[in-house]
Amino acid sequence: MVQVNESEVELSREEILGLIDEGARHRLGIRGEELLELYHRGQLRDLGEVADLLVLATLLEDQAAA
Amino acid sequence: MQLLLSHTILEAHHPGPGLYWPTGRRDRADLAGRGKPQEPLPLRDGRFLKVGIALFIADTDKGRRVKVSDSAYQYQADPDPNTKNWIFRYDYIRDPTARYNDSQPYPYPQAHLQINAELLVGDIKLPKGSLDHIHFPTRRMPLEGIIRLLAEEQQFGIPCADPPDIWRPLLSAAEAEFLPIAHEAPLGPS
Repeated sequence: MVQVNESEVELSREEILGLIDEGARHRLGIRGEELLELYHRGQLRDLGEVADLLVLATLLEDQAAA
Repeated sequence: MQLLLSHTILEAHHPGPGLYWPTGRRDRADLAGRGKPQEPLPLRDGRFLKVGIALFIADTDKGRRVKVSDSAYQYQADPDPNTKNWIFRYDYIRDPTARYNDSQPYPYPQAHLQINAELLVGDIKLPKGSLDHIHFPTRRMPLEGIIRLLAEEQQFGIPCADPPDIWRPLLSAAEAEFLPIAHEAPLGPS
């Protein structure tokens, strides 16, 4: 993590994936990559349990995907 | 946002949400917890609010604007980002087809509310046992709406930092800016 200023932080792709992985393992017992694959395939149920991780995953997308 | 939170429900002296950028880019960001994105914000009632708002820059006919692609708010009883002790949560996704590549439509209302509660009506049994599996459709709920709910609802009993005549006009002004331009999603699959 690179602190940009008092309230802003830059996260690398690896750091973002690491945070998603940490949450996915705690909550669903699966890897972060698996969580994102299930989500993209429409096979993830109860999205609310990981909604904050899915918000975080938007940082991995390119601008065109918006 | 920090101003609204600090006048109302945020624990005294807490610096408020953090803003997270992907390295080297400024076309999108997340407004989320402080220190780590998943870290819930401590509130003045000893409970916590987990916030995640995905922001992106969009070219519109009025110029470049910051928009929200996804948001997630969770009021919870403890500071654990992975807690089961959540009370309610509001989630929103602007365009599920951007990431949800199933042949079936997105199964939930794009803006919805979940409540972690038991149904106490006679002997009615829900298939999954409790209300938390039901996604009640809502209009867009901005963070200002969550702040207002937690600050105004006496049942939550959150002692706000300042009296309502300080923060109500601030909330109303923020809502007045948000509501006319807010993207409103369908209430269910189409």
